[in-house]
Amino acid sequence: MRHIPEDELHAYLDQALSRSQCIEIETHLSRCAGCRTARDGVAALRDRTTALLARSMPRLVTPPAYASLAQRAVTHRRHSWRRSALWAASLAGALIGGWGLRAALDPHPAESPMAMTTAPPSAIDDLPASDLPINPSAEVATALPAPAETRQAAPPLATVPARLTAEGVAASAAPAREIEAPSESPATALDALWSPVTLEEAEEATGAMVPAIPGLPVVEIQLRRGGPQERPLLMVSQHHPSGELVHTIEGPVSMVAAVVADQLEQRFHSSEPARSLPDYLDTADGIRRTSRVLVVVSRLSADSLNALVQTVVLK
Amino acid sequence: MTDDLEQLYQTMYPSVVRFLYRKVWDQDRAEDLAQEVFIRAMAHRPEKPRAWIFAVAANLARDEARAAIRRKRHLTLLTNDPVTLNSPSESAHDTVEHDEQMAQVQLALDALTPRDREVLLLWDAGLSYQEIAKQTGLAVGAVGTTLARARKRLVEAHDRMEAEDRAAHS
Repeated sequence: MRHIPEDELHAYLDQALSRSQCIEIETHLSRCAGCRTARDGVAALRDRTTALLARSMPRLVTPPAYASLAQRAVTHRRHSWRRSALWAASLAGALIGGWGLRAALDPHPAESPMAMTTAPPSAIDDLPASDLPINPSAEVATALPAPAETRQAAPPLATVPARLTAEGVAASAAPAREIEAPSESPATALDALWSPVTLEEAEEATGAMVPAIPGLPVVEIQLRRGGPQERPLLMVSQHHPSGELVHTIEGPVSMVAAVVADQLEQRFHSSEPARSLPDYLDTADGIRRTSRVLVVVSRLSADSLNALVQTVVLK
Repeated sequence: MTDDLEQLYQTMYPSVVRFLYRKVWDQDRAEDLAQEVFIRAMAHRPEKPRAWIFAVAANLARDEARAAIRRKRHLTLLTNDPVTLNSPSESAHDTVEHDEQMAQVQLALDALTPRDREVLLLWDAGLSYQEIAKQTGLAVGAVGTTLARARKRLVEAHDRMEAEDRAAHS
């Protein structure tokens, strides 16, 4: 009489055998105490394995809305050529229009009380979130100078005065800021790439991943193009019931940090950064993932902003 | 097809996250990768999406592991990531205990050969013997043998570590 091999007992208990094989095994088990003991041993081992693996479970997960993924899939299919074209166009626009834009948008270039002296943003991609020079409990402008880690990543190239009027962040039809970027600094030259967009344009550019606080009317969306395959940096401004405007900024970690530190007015507070969905860049070395975060900034208290940032959805 | 994939997405997403989690050991990265897998599935429309999804997930996890080695410095920093929040409902003690248990299982899984581990995780993710065979290149008949060995070694490795841990604490 053939006893049942151990691997067959595993397959039997895993319900991986055909009906006829099962009948054969069950018939044998009914007659063979040794194989029954072996089966019980395999069953216990199986249970033990399942229990061990259950200890290494991630937290409960809820799938994000299928529609949002479907939209990203559409973008995934067409974004490579489109992003390249937009990137080229934006860069050309910045080179041509940057200086004129500055002069046209800043009505009081010499006397703004908001002028800040800042360090330039650090390397723009793939910094760990711990590099964030964002202090949730502190005034935004006091986050200067940049923390040591950031300075190590990108030594200051130059001192860049950045200025933003109190109303300019949200109320103007175009980004109102003065950029005096040395031409050899690409990171600061990119600041001129901010532009106001419609919700549809923002959805198109991000693959329907526009961050917003549900229930608050959107006043304006501003966008700064990212590199090829990267979603853009976005600032979504919304009316809060308190009368204040709240701005949700989403983008690569260091870019968001740089905007908060360099370009927002002093009385703004920032929420703690929340992790956003990363970008995946197809490189010769394989898929490269770059971290993104979102923060909510406003004149509201940091506590209120920390509560608000929890409610932000990407859609 | 769309409806099929959507249904599959709803039912399979947690198991794909679980499968990836045990490869990258980071909840957010596991979820990010799982979403990437389904986005690719929507773009590619595979004929056999279940098997395809786990094959792509395994590939992404492998790429991720290679990239992780290259970016070791960043990963070290990420372990102190202020963005990662512990669940406030868990007491510190529970968290520590849970982390220790999880670390032991992680080490025990790492002690398996890559093939044994892959087969075990695919089985745990809900794949059939046929699907596991197709993905790993094993004969269907060899899946049971591999699973038997993987289960035994996982439990042995875990018990050994637990015993060493107890000895170290006493």
